Amino acid sequence: MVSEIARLTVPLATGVDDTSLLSRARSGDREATELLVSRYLRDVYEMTARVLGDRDLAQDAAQDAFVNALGALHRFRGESSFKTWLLRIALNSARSVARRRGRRREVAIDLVEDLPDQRVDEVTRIANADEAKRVEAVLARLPEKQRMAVVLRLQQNLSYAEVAAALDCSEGAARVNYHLGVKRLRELTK
Amino acid sequence: MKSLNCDHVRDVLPDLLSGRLSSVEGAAVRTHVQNCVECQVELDLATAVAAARLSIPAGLHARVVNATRTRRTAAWSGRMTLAAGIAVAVVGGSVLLAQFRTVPDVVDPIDVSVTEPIQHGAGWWSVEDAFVSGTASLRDLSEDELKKLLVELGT
Repeated sequence: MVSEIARLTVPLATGVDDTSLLSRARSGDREATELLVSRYLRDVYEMTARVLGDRDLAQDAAQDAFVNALGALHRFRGESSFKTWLLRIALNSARSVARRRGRRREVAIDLVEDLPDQRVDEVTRIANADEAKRVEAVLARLPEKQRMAVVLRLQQNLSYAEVAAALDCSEGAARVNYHLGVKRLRELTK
Repeated sequence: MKSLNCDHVRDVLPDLLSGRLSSVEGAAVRTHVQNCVECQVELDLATAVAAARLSIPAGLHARVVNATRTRRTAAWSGRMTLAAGIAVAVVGGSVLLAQFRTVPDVVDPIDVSVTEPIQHGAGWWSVEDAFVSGTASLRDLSEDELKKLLVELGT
């Protein structure tokens, strides 16, 4: 786990912008493809996990999302950010996996495995893990549209316009779903 | 700066957390939150949600990279097969086309001017014998010659 995190942090620190990576990936550059996976894997996995509420299914959907997206790079016209475009594909992949499996768990169980930051001390790590699981549990109780709007806004740091693009809805709908989701979270955490 | 209302502050709290706000607006939002219990509660909630991100499961990165490589290889093989098929079709078509083009558009007329008898013997006549070799020769005869011929033939 630690070695994987260490490996993932190297390409993230290279500072190569998406445009040049995409250009290289389109021409078959394996390193560029791998850098794109490294850069966005967490975002994509988080998206699929939030929709599916199941670690294994979420990994299947994340893999599908990358395979589909990187196989269709020629269709990305740059009208939105690559991240937004990729997250939209991830959302569709998660929904597709859910349809294939014929189920969608409403309550997430054990999505939180380990905290990514290994430097924190054990007490803090456990406390953070407990808090993360508590947040996880209440997030899972939100309707999907509200949950995804909250996650994209607060965890993916997207603007309302970007949330709307990722969820294929209007900016107004994205804003309403975010606020309804936060309101519901407050009720659930009282 | 004009004082902010709660709706606006709650709308931009995610931007405050992600550092998207300008320094001026960020300071105004923080000031509002410090003096508003409801907005403070919402900021605490937003902070907790923002921090509760999932980690990448061990092995997922390698799995995804392998899957994209396999897909790319398969797609490459498919494209190569398609390209090879097209190449074969183009070459084959060109050969066929070339063969058609070697056949002249206008066929030379068969030379029927025979100066020697094709075959001598029963049933065959010399082409020089104008009276018996064909009707074409009769056209050259005058009316008197035709009458003479009919007499000779006994009709």
